[in-house]
Amino acid sequence: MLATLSFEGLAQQFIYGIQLGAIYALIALGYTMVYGVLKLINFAHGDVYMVGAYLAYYTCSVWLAGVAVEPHLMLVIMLLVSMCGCALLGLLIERIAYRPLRSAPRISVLITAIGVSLFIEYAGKLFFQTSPQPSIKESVNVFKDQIHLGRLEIAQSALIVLITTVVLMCLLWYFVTRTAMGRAMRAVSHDFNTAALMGISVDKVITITFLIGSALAGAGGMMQATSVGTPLSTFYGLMPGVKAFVAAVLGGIGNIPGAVTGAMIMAMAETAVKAFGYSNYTDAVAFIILIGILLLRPGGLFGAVTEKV
Amino acid sequence: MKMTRITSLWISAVFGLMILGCGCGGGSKDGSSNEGTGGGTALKGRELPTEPGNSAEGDTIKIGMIASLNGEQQPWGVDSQKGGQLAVDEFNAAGGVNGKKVELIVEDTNSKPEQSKTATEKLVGEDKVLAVVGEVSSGNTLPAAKVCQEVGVPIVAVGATRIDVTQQGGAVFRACFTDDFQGAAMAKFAYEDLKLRNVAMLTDKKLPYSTGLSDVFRKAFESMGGKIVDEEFYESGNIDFKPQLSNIKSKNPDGLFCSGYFTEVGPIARQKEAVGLNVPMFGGDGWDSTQLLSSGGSGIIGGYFANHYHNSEKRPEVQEFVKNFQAKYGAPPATAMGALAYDATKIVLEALKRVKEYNSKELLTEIANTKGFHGVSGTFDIGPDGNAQKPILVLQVQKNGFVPVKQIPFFVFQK
Amino acid sequence: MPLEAAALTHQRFSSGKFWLVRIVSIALLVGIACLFQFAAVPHMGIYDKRLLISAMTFASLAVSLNLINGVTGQFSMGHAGFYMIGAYTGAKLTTTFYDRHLMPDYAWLLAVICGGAVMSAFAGFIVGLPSLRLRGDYLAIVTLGFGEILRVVVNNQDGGDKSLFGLNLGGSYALDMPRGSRISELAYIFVFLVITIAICRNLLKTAHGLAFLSIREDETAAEATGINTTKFKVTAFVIGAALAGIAGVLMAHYNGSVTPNDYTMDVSFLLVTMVVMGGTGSITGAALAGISLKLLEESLRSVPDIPAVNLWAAVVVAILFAAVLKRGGLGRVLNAPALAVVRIVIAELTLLLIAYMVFKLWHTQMSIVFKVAASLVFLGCAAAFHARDNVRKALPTFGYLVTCVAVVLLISIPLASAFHKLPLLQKLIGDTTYKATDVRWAFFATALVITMLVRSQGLFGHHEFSWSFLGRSFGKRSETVEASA
Repeated sequence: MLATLSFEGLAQQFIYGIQLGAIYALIALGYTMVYGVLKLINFAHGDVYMVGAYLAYYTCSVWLAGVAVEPHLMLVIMLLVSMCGCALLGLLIERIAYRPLRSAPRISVLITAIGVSLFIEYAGKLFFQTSPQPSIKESVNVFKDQIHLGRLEIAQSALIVLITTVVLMCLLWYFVTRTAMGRAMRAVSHDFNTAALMGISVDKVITITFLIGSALAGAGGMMQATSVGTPLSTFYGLMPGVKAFVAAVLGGIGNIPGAVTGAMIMAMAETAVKAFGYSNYTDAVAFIILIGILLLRPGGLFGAVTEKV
Repeated sequence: MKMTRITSLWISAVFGLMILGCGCGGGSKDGSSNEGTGGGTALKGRELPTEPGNSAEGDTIKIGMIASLNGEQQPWGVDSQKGGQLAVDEFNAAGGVNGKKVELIVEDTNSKPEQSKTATEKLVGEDKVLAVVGEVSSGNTLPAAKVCQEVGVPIVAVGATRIDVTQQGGAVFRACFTDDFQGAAMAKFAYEDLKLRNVAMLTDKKLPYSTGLSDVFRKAFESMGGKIVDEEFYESGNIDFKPQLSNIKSKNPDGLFCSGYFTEVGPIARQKEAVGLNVPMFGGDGWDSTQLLSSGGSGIIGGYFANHYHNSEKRPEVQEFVKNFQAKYGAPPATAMGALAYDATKIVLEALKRVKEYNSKELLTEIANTKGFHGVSGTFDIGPDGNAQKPILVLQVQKNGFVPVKQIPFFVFQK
Repeated sequence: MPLEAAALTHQRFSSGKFWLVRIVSIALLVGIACLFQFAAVPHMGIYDKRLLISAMTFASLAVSLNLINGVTGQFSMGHAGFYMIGAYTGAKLTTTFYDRHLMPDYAWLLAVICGGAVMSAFAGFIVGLPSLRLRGDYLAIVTLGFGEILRVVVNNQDGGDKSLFGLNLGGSYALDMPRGSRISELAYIFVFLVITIAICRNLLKTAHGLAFLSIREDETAAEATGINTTKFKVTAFVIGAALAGIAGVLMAHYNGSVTPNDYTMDVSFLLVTMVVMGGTGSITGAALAGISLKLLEESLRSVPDIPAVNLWAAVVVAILFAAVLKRGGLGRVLNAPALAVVRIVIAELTLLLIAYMVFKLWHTQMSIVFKVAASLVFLGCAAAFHARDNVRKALPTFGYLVTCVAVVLLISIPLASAFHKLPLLQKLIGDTTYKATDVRWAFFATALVITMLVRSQGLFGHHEFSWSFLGRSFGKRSETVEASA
């Protein structure tokens, strides 16, 4: 199996890995932000991603139904609708399910998160079309052509996803480390009560975190649904959600560059396993690599090492 | 630091050992295990159930249906519920049988085998249904079939194409064709009609349906003299198939067999274009969905798949079914499961017309005696093995929809 | 640990009395199991049996996970993996060797149980090792990964050339067991549940048990006092995994086939949910939560069709109520001393309402198991209400909630006709009616969220269930009697 892979083949696979990593990273960023502030694994994040994909679908079906808009502008509108809708949803989830539990044990909030996730998955079919499963038409994706770099190829859409991810990561990083709100966020993340004593509105910070995190998930859902075209169901966000969560932990959960790096490693591991012809063991090997890395660095790649004395 | 490295290495080593341990402890490989695709040693022909089953009381005859109304297989489950309900409604509108009306009780299996078992036990134990219709997937049908066989209630599977499902016993039937026939027919089609010799396969490792179909296809295609140049895998729910497709491309096949569901086949077709693998795709009835065209884009055009029937067929059964379905639910069935569930339910209802006493035992005998049944998915008999012996319709995916290209009559594939 | 340490636990006993109590309780257990098996089981339908079996299996799984998650505080999200190993080991052993065995069924089952327990315990040992280095969510990920790895590996074991050692586990389809090998009985699972509870409870009564608890409370402090945290953490994993493995063996031999799809991540999530809902660390809590969640899941099958407008109105009101109540403002008003009489009246009315609902339930077609369970819940509510102050406060709140929902439901009917005219809302509200199967899981999730909102520390918090409130309700102080043998 190994012998059949040329150097070019490897390079091409490397590009595929980066493309997949970019999508994981978009979702992982949201996970990591919420975790950083609330210390909560927001299980509903993958479902917010699903809602983002659905919103994109409904927006573009309005377009296909006859509203004349320039295709590129249409993509931007879809992106905005998804991001805004998901931000609202995130806000709603935080208000209803998480805020009342601010002082409860962490694990109870986790169970609430599982409950919210189940609710969106199972009640979602009352809102969204699931039979027949809708999917976004290929014609909507105006960036489906390939860019040729020598003998390597990369899809325009993948490049756009990648660039968006990197730009968003830089923006987020700037936001968190260089602005007043970011400082407040870090303070809240460091110590809830003390931050509140220092005059930081904890609720406001958490709301903004949820807004940003959910909007990112929405963007991820829209981009993925448009470029890949998987038929949507309410379980659309399940696997990507888990993968992104794992990626976020791998990078050191709560850490923004960590999430992107973790996502890239995760995607690379998967791609490598597939490329070497063991695609039936993809997830197993990816998880074994993950466990190996975590054993060497128990706090994730960029996380604070919380080793015991 | 040194210490931690050693610890980690040790842990990894033990981890490796554990997988080994799983292998050894799981039981030795010996002759008594069956060969081939999964299953166990229980498959010793079709014994008739010993228990008497249920009998009808009062003026309603209860028929049960299990379907994945929730969970990952919901699209198929919802369709099969609609199809079954349509059949029962038509039957009752035509006066029922002997002054009795039929009631269809639908239970949800949540796309999980164990829940499927629970649902069947509820139908059989609580609601005392005379027969059970369902499930769509083989994995969920097996536990239900076990219950029905034990209790003596006939079950007619809707879309369970795995070969060993009906081998559970004499109470298990199905309205669809088997992987054995479907895989072999597609292999024949690929070899004789498409003139393909080197085919690559892409299998969904998570789906029993897909692995079973790929298995048969490989055997049949190789027995005809074709060559399987590569088999790659994915799991339903995956989004990225480019690495596998890229591997396949390097093997230069002249065809790609995708045995999975349309949910992944669409994205595979799009990514196939992106990778530059320009060979025809073909696959099984898992492809059938009105959404295949929009999810597959230009990559899917020109693909072939096996199906039970097609909405545009001129047969009166099909035209009437599509018309009634459209009238009742406002849209044509999204997948073939609507028609198959309609047929499966109708097999039970037709058998009801022939029984003298309304109990499971009689019904079972009559279902087994089904001959020349005029269904939406063709005119067929129920064979002695409990399977519907019907032809396959090969459809081609074209820009504006699916077009029937060939009908392959029923034959038995000898492994 | 020295024996003197046992004195730390508040029970004092002479060894004679100790053994007497043990022997009597074991005899009682066997007696009850036999009575159950020979008197009750023959009258039960297969669905009743299934309900009891899955409830008890999940109760014992929750109790075994509680040892890892609740008692020792190691966040494990891979419990379905241990369950799976047990099930597959048992199924494979039986498929391979059952035909040739010369043992009676129970002896064979016992042998297979040992096999399953050993395999699972071994896996528990392996998975427990990373807990030396990893904490909290990182450990959670590793255990989650373990479950996934296992599932993928089993998916590939179909005896083909892609499987390791040519092992045939049926791949993603199923490992189908021979027809005669469904040898697991309801009584076995009942005995197993009691034994699981007894093991965990007795473990916690010893000094060793305190060591487990100390790790949860403060690992560094525990280590500082000389507790070998490594040993105890791994031990918790090993015991928990072995118990889960046995549950897997029993369930596999009741079902007659095993499938990887039954051991996915969501089973692990459900188990964690049961542990947390019961109250982390509470054995009886975990067991009760396991039973009630499993029964709730099934009983929701029998929900009648609901007009969408009523459903959405009720859901919105319930969520708002819970959220507002948690804020405190409304809670203070509701608990004002001036309203004491109103509260008591509302509480008693609520009890009556529940009683009426239970009464109605007995006249439906539902399984006897649900009827008995609902009646028990009602009796528990009634007893707890009259015995415990905090429940007495909680029940009126529930009454208020019911009143609110009822009022909204009344208003919602005229509202429905109004909504009916809006095309966008028509699909959602309008005259749509939801079938039970459509909303079953949404209900389940809502119940989960509301329970957590209302009682975030779980059913029993860190405490155990005890009968003492009954004694108190009769005005005397009785000794603490444990719920289990």
